[in-house]
Amino acid sequence: MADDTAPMLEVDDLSVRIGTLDGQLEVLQQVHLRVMPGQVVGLVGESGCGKSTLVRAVLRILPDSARQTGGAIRFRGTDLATLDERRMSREIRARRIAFIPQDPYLALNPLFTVGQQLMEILRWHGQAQGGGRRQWRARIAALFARVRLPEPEAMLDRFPHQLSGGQRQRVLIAAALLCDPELIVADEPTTALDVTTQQQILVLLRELVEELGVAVLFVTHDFGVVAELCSAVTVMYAGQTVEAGPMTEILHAPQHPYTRRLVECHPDRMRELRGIPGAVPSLVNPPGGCRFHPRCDRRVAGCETRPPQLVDVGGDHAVNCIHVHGGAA
Amino acid sequence: MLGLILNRLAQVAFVLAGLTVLTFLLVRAVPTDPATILAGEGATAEQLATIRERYGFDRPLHEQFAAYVGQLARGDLGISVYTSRPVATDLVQRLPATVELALAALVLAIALGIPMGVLAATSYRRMADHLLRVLSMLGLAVASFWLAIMLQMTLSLNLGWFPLRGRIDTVAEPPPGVTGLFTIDYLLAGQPAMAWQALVHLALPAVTLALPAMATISRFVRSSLIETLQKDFVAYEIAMGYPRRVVIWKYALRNSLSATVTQIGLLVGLLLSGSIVVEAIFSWPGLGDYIYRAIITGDTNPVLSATLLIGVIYAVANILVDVIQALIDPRVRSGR
Repeated sequence: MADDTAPMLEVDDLSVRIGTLDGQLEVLQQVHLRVMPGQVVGLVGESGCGKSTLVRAVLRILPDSARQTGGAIRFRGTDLATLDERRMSREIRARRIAFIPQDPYLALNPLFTVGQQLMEILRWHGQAQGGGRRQWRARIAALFARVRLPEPEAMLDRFPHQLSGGQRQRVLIAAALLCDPELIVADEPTTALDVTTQQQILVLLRELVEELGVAVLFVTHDFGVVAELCSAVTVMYAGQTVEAGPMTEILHAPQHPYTRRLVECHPDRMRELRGIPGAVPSLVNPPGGCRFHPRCDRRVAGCETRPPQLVDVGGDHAVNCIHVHGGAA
Repeated sequence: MLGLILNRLAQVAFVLAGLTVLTFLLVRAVPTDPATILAGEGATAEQLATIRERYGFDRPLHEQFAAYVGQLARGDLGISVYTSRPVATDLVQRLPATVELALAALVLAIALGIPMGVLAATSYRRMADHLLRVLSMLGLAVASFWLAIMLQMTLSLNLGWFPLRGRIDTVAEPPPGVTGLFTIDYLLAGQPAMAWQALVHLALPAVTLALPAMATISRFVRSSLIETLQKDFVAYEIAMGYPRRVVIWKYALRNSLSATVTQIGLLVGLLLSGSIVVEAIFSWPGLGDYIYRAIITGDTNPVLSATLLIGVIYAVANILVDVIQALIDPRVRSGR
């Protein structure tokens, strides 16, 4: 059924607005993103740049106050906006697009055993696997073993508070794999964990991804993680896509000044850690022109006034900067 | 779990000891002379003195209290002046009627209050939420004696849909006592028609008593569910394709019940005290009606004992609440 040359997930010129007391905030604007079948794509940006909003838009779990105001999110060619909540829940979530949330301490329901919670997923989406309760339990236990949880059988009957953070994250990874999804959306799945556990979880994720060939959209603010895991990167700034391209190209020849600074922030690169002066701008009143211009060290005349467009520079590499299209826009 | 129950029992013993002292002092502090009431009108000073001596009203308060506690320990609750029978006998006879009424009201309040709260929370700040808020405010604001009389006037007297008062028709034969709850006992005795009659008699007093409790429950469920629906795990459950109704009714609701269950424990007190007025209006032959008569006739023994009994019921209800909390939340069970 799958055409491996067509994108699996394509976010095309997406904009999302959230109604707040300060009025309408355009939290996403001109967002582009592409995930090919079997590809692991990193989505990188500072906190507050709209990564999580994008994830929620893809899963269609935006809060009631938020609305998609433009563009499209296509999964295997289907515009997800054309599916109602019921079909989204029955046909897409868990079954075709699975989710690994950010905080394993908050994502599991404290009053139910982890087994009950994973069984609930199979109850609604397990038809593909067939079988009844006992087979489902066996399947969950097998996945628990695969994500290297100790005593996988007994683990099913534990409550979340009886597990460590790393164990909970392994449970959530197992949950994402339950229905053999085509795409896994992982929203900073290691941020809430301590450093050693982070590393273990990343190793596990890389193993699973290589073994299963599943496509992953991996959200993070850490370029080091991207370098370890991903074959392509999309960089977001202040609600916009500023650069997207193959991993090696972005890492070694970043074109957008923001990406360059981000790459330099990565401490493994043996340079002086520079950080980026300034902070992500407020979306209530974003800077005119290029949203990065107040912090940019390559600012020229025109940056404040003319918003740049995302331009293809060849080899699946696109950049949203005045220097790239020579101010032609 | 056993440790939890023992711990609560110890607390309850302490509370009941306090309640015994307090009710005793309150009744004795009321400036009526129990001897005058016992002796009736036109008694001579000599007769009064005899009565005082016989019942120990002439002795110091602490001696009277010691004697009272001694009686309690022996299960002797004294004689009711009004019914001229042992108070213990009266209480045993009247308790089931109140239990039936309060249980019916509680079941009604929970069965309606929880869905109302869920509906209000899921339609937060929309039409249904506003309507339900008005409804629950009315439920809390309307005085139960007024509501009781209105229901009697419209549904009983004008429309004749419900009987005006009592547990069953005056000419009817009560069921053989098994549970003491007429509706159930008639069913057990294989008399469905009589069970229906008992149920119809139960309806208006139970609705009157249930209304404020239902409003309270619905408001607690609403506010805790609104809070729960903001939690990360709810978003996760939706994102992993749990159907919305399952997320709300099973996973989110259970996380919202803690405050409500505590509140239901407190509502038992409201229901029992509310039953005094409701039973008096509907001539429901229960504890409330008994206390009401005892209070207006200045009959101290029944007032003391019934108050204690209500205290015991209330305490037991709140131990049950703790047990239910522990059943709902594994973290309470494991003491975390």
